[in-house]
Amino acid sequence: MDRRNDYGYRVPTFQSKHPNGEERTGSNYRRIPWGRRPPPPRDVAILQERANKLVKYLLVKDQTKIPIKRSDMLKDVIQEYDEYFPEIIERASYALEKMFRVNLKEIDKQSSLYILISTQESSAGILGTTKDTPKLGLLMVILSVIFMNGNKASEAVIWEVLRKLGLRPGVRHSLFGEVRKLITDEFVKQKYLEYKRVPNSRPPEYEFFWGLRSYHETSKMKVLKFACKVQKKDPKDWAAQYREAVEMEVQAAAVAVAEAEARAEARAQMGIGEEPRYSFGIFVHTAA
Amino acid sequence: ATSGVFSAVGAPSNMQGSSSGRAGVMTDVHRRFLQLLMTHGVLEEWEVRRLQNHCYKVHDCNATVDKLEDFINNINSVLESLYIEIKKGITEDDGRPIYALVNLATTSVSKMATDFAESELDLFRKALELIIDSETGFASSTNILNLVDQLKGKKMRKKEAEQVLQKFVQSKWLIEKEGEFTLHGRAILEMEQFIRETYPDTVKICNICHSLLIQGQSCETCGIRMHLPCVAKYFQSASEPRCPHCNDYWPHEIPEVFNPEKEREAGGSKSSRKSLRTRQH
Repeated sequence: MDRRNDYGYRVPTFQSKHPNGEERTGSNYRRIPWGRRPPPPRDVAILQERANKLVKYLLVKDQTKIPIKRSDMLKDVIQEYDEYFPEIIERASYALEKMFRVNLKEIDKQSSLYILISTQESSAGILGTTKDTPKLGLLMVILSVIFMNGNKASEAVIWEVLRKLGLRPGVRHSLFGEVRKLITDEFVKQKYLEYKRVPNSRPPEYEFFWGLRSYHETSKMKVLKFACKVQKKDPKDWAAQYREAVEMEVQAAAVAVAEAEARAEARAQMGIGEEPRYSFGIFVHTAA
Repeated sequence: ATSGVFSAVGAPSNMQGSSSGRAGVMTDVHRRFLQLLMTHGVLEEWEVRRLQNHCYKVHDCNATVDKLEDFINNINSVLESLYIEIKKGITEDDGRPIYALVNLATTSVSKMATDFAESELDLFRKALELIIDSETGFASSTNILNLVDQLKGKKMRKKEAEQVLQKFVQSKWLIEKEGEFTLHGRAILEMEQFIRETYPDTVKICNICHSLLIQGQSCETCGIRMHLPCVAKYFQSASEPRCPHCNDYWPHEIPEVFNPEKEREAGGSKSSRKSLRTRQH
């Protein structure tokens, strides 16, 4: 728990009637460090209200695909209920799953970063493309180069491939913008890729790895199948990669089961989902 | 309608007996639908129907597809506690029905999205103000870009601002026509309340539907305004169109009422549509 941290937070000088819609303008607020305030009593209604607010906050913030910091959630939404953060985030996580079939995942326990992942098989393309489709297509190409190359690829190799697609560093593309910035900066911030300097390289050389988000949003098997589709080969033709992809799937399944169990236990303890009538006003219908 | 907090303090949320009928039940069909709608931001009605059918096919192919209105009301009753809903509107230029997920509480510019930096949101705000102030509902690229020096946040060059405006077009907050910008139907759906509250003196209202008006036709005598689709409906069977307020002859071309059947026959492509834009002189 982060109780020891002294976050400055803003105390409203009036009691806000509306759970949503209030604008926080700086002039109305005093700054009181959380540490000095007594924690408010546990009130399920308010915890649920904060959780609902957190759901919207996460849905909006996730649009940028830049991982969300726990400290931002605490500052912007949770505020004086920071002591109840674990319960609030569990309630939010439950609502996200039940309403949007989206998983809230902590991808970096050290820096407390979270992302939202869709848990359903993608319906991509059913209504044509969105503005993100070209970028994600390009990403898929890069992820497959990295994987097929043994889970890392030098910048030189990546550019070789991109040049074949007509993309060049420093040249603005109508769909991707400046491609070098996209792959070394934007995709890195979004945790789709990692861009690291090759140790002891002089002049400095860089290589690409899969980012944490890529591991969660796709799988080595999916990427292998994509690469094989392009090459018109069978995934099993790439024996080493195929073995690795299968192994990752097994591991991922085991992790998913363990996580689901842990979540179910936590929720049972917190009384989340037990009485949906009284917590959310929704009946949770589990489809047969 | 029951608020999420009200339900949380132990009152039964079972809404039987109230006018809304059965409380919402959300299945994977609804969840997939909701997620995809969110991904696209805003969809036209034919796309929404296709999406609904797709979601049924994936999850529950034996079930009969719910009537769209009921399907959406169902989802909305579940989303109530989050103060968001799927809202239906019509495009101002040709009356096509559109759907988007919007905030029930007022959405200010800063809450629009966190995709945009402070200076970019301020650019949108400036464009919004020019659009609201204009006679036609359109603001020229030149006029918007001339305000670049006044923006809050990080300094932005005109070239950058042009790209930011394109970002807004791609994200369906603005529409561009011949170098001029107006609000996308999605922005109007999302921000109508905010716009009416923030610009009460300059905002224009349609005389027929009483909603926010950005583009439309106006009476040259008394100045009342009407949306193009509202004009189409109101004068549909009128032999001699007359202003509903001052009875003077209505001087503008009357557009056709949007007909989804005709659209499908014509192939539904955007380029084949005739869109009507009125210029005020």
